[in-house]
Amino acid sequence: MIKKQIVLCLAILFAIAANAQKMSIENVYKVTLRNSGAIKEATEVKGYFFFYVSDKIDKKTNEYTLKITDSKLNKLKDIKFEDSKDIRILESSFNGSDLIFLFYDSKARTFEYQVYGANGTKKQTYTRELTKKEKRFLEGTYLAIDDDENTFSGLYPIDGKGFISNTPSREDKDYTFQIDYFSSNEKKQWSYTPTSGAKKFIGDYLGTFNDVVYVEVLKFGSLFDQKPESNIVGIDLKTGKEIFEKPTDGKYRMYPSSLNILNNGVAYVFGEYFDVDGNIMKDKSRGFAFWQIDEKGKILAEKYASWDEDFSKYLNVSSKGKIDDFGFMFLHSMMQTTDGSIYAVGEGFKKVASGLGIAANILGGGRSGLSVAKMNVTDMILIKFDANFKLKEAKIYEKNANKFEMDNGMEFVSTPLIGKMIKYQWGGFDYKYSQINKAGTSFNICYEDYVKGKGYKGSTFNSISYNDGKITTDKINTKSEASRSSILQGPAGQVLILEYYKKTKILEIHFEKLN
Amino acid sequence: MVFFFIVLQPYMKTNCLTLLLCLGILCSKGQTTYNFFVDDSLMKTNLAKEVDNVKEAKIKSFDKKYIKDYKEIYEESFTGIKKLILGKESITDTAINNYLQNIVKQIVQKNDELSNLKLRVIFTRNLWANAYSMGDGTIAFNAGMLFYLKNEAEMAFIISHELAHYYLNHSGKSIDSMVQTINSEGYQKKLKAIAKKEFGANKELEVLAKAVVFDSRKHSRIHEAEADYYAYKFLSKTIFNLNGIISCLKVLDVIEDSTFFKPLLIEEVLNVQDYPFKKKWIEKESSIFSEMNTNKNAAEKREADSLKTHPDCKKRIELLKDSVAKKINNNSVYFITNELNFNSIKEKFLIEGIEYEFINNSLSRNLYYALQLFQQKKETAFAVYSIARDLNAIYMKQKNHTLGTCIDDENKAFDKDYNQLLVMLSRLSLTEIADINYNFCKSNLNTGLQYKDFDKEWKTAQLNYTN
Repeated sequence: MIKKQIVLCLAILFAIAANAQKMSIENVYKVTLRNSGAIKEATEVKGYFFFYVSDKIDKKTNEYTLKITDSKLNKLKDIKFEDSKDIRILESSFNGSDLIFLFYDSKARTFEYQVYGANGTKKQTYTRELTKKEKRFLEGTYLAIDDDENTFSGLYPIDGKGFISNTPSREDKDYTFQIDYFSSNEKKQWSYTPTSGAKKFIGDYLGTFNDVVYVEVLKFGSLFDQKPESNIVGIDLKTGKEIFEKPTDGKYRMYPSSLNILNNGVAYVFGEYFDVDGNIMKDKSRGFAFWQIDEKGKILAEKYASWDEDFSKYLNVSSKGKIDDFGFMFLHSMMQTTDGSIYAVGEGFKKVASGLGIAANILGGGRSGLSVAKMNVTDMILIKFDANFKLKEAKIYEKNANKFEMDNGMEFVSTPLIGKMIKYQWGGFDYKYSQINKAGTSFNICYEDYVKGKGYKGSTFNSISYNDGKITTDKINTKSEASRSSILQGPAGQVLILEYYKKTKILEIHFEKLN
Repeated sequence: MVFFFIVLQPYMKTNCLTLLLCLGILCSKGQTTYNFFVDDSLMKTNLAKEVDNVKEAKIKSFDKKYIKDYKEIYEESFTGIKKLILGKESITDTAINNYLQNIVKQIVQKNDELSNLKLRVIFTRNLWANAYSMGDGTIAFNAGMLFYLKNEAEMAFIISHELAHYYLNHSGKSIDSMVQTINSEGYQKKLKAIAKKEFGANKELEVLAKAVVFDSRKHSRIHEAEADYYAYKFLSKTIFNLNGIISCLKVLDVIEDSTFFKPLLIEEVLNVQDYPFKKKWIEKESSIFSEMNTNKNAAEKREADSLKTHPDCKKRIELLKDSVAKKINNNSVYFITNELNFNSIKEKFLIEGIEYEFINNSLSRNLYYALQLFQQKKETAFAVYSIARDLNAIYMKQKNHTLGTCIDDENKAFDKDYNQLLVMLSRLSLTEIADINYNFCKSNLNTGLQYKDFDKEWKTAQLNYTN
């Protein structure tokens, strides 16, 4: 069997017999892995990085080694440098030719963006200094998240040109966000931070089209505002100047989740839609919307697929979007394949009565702290639209429900808002990630499950895959003969399986395809 | 002690194209199966027993002071030797073994100092171009090494070189040196001092480790030169032509820059009428550091040179060429059997080596070689059978999520055509594997059916296709 054994820190130089009773190089040499992660170009894994402390220089300085590998874990380069002992890598991204790393120095309060070119040398360095207030805000938001799935990904590639960064920001009394553009070809940077017209801003990068950066902006009148305004902002990629800001109101109100460029070179924003005066935070959506949009923010065409008229042909769904047994849908991702079809992937969730919560409230006189309702995270759903945005199929993929108790009072919170809390606050969804190849000929949607079968009891890694028009499903049992095993995101259509055998101290690593 | 570090794997290179032409003739005669070597299990057991005896004697001779270190090193070494002998890798077919022992006998009989050595010289099915002395009297001569050689005189030089390593106890001396070094007062003192350091400890450790490794590699290079000289001495007393020494070293000097097979044109080989090859299977994608210069700078080159275990081949030739010229004997020979027999063994070794890749669960390598055979000579029943068998095995492994344990991952060290195959394997869906195999078998049905076991693979391919 071909085995790949990772010995992260000790090269051949240190392969000298170790003996616990005497000193050996192996037991004196100490390195600490500080960070590691996948380097992606959009959703595709193109490599991995391992960032470790390779030596201590003095009380304030460490020597670091940033090991960069290709998508098959072959070493490409070791970058050694000395820096403050307080740095770590927050994110990385690849734009088809250049690579960027975001370093964070917690003590100096700086973000440093380092860009490396195709020849492996450092091309640009951009530094952003954070105020104390900003740092505190980021520590409660962006910096608090350390997730493999990049739920809060903030670095996006612009093909061959540079990178867009999106991070929360604090300006005086405003809670806002900052969009930065870092050119990879020349030393050029701009920042965009909205501060007027609201007290709180949340921004989502949607995409870039014809040198216009599209951002979805939620504006809150106060910190406790429950009905934010939804706008699309267009920023000039070359100058950083705002080109337009328009409410996401057409025939209906839309909450955009992505911007896609269709094959005919036209930009569309996709997302769920609501009534004209609806509240995108709290109301139940009416279905899916597809808007053709130009570089000035003008909506050129609108198409809708509603729960009650369109989806009901495929599912037992109420006009409010509740699907029998499935509950409400939380939209995770939307992707477009090369034939023009659009796929939306979601996961179901619903409130159900909690026996434990009810009993605890009766016994505790309502002071139990538990809600009388609990959440069930149900099945996965895959929805297909054709190139004309007509609903073609909606299929539910069953999995075992996740059940969890909620805090007292949560039963009064609106269901859509609870969906956002499951995603961003409780991490309760089984969905892991979606990955589509650049050509749009195949994609994978991956999620976890737990099964109790006759032959196997334990967690499983599941996928719904698209390959040249055909949808297939696959399942990998994550429990194996190894002492410990885990499955990570691999290159397009593949996963990286790590299996550690405690007895032999061998870490086996192999890439496997999702069928 | 390893003789050469050259790998004859799919991605490596040699210039033995004639081999494949010969194989084409072999397979086009309409034979229904390939007659693989028949291993002698009794011989394997006896060889393993001999190894056990050597191990026992060795353990008794250890310096008691460092017995733990010695035991650790030798346990691992002897486990490896026994695994090699008892496993499928070693070739113990009577005729082939007799052929090898005959060449060994020519050297040993003429050199009294070798006559008392208890030797176990064996051929292996490994396609890595290498021969090595394992320090206990076992000398392995890989199938992949033979492909490069032009005559038995070159082969005798390689065997003599490995005999010299054993005769001079190079392996034992290296182990002694390492054990003494890591237990020495000076070394331990340095390590303890570094361990106490709060800052810069790893840098100092690297310096210390490099010093030890560079010293060990330097000794290794000295040992190699010494083994060359003794090989020359041993060989000069035999009937073998000493020009074999120089020609062998010349082959080794250029071996890495030559090609073994013509590049595999996978787009053509797997393009069949009912299922055309899809370009997307091998299309290039964006990659990190795609334009990185991999050339070493002066300091890196110096370090790489210091890490070499073998002296440069040109230097080795320079050291021996005058001695060889003086001793050339007009009555000496390049073959003690004949060229035809020698080439026939090389041909058999290629098929044995390819089949061993399958037995060893290296499916991507086996498939690469099978496709190469097919490309070189289309009417090759064995190749069609092997391709069908590989694709069926790949289908099943992929279905069970274990394919990654038996195929290589794309790597810059591999040749472009092998990487292309690996890229393709990493992109094919289960359905596509089944479709390729079904259509490939269908379009080569007559050829495939000439091979005894093909029918079974064809049925499996049909089953996978309809699933």
